[in-house]
Amino acid sequence: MVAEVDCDEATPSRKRGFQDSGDWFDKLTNFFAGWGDTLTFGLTGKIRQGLGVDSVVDYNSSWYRGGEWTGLGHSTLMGGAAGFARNSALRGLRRPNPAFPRGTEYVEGSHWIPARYHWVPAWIRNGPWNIKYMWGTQHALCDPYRYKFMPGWWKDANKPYPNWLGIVYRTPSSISGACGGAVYGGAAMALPRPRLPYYE
Amino acid sequence: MWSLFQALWRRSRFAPLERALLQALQAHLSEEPRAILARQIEAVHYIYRDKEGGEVNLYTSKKKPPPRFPNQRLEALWCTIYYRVPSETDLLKARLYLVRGKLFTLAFGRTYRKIASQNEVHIERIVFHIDVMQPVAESPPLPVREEGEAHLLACLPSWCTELGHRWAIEQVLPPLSPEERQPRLQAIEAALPKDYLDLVEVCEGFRIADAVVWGLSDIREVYLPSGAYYLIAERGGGYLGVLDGQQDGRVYYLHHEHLEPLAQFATFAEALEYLLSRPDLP
Repeated sequence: MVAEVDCDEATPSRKRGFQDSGDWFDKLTNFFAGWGDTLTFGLTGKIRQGLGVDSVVDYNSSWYRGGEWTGLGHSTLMGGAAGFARNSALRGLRRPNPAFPRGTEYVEGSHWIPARYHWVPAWIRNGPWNIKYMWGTQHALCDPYRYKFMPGWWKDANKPYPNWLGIVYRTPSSISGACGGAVYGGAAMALPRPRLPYYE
Repeated sequence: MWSLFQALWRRSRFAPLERALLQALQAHLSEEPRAILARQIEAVHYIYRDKEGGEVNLYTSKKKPPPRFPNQRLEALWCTIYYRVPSETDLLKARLYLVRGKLFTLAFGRTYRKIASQNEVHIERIVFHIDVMQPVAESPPLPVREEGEAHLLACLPSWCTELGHRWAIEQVLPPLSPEERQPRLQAIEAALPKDYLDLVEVCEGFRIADAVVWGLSDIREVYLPSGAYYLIAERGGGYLGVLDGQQDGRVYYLHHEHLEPLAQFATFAEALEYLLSRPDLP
């Protein structure tokens, strides 16, 4: 015989509900909990559980869900901004390299959507988010158009990347950063939560 | 000769035109270089083709490198093969380059895409530019020493000095001797601009801001769909070049992302100023 356990008894102190409570303080608590849990990859939830205050959060509430989606957007934006900052920091750098005239290699701008595609509006082609800054040698390896300008002895020592890999490498840091942030946020949202089944 | 023939046919990755030219080349070689060439071709395990520009690069295994010719200059134009194919009325030429004593580049130019699959190739003549069996050793360029350039700065032409007021000039190298200059100029099948020729008489190039004006010893060719260009200056992905075969000394601004030159100038000084003023470089 299987004993029936009342849900209220199993988690007597946890807030739950199909409909959100009308209290704005509760709503905001749920919203920011969802936002924080996504951004910290569930760490804030663990801390609440450790402090014994997790029962105030309703994981089923639409406000908690809204907070999670806000966290996803936030992590996406943060990843994009970090990539943009990394890109900007690289611009203008130089380092010694005998493959370049006078032994100096510069960071160069590589267009993701090629600048020769004149059917794409110029503001898109030359927009900062379409340009990835990278060292000249790396640029040559992932862009066959840049590769042809390198000296023969350098080409002999460095085979170009396959096209697909070149495209991946040339993806602007802001876009790859945003994708990384979105994956992070999505994975954080997919973490198991102590949600209860919906009921009326 | 038979071993080379076998290597070419076994390696079906060679296009018919490439095969025909390499066979013609081996017929013009004595036994020793022919044997080395056969081993090098046999060792080719990857061919990179830039079909638009007509440049073909031959890669060999680094673990089992083939024998090299004794002439191991870092990069050298070995020979020019003049040939005809039935579909083209013009006499065509292909240049073969060595890298450290190994055949690495076959440069066909822009006609390559159209004629690569042609089996019927008539070789008119082959002109050899270096003796591959003459021992020469060369290493990658060494870092530039900047001392003693003050007196070279004073010798620069007036247009350089004017540009030097806006952009800092440094790393000025002493010029090649007239004996060294002459063969290099003869090897360039184009008329270089007059002001550039004046410049290489007093120095072997310099750095100006983040651009570099190349000396005669740095000049190399790049193969684009619009033709082959001798590069004479660079700034982070943007280049100044002179079109192969052209005699009016015009200078072209090339950007690696574009298949055609983006601008052209009557003098090198104008072109250099344009290159330095580009906001999108490097």
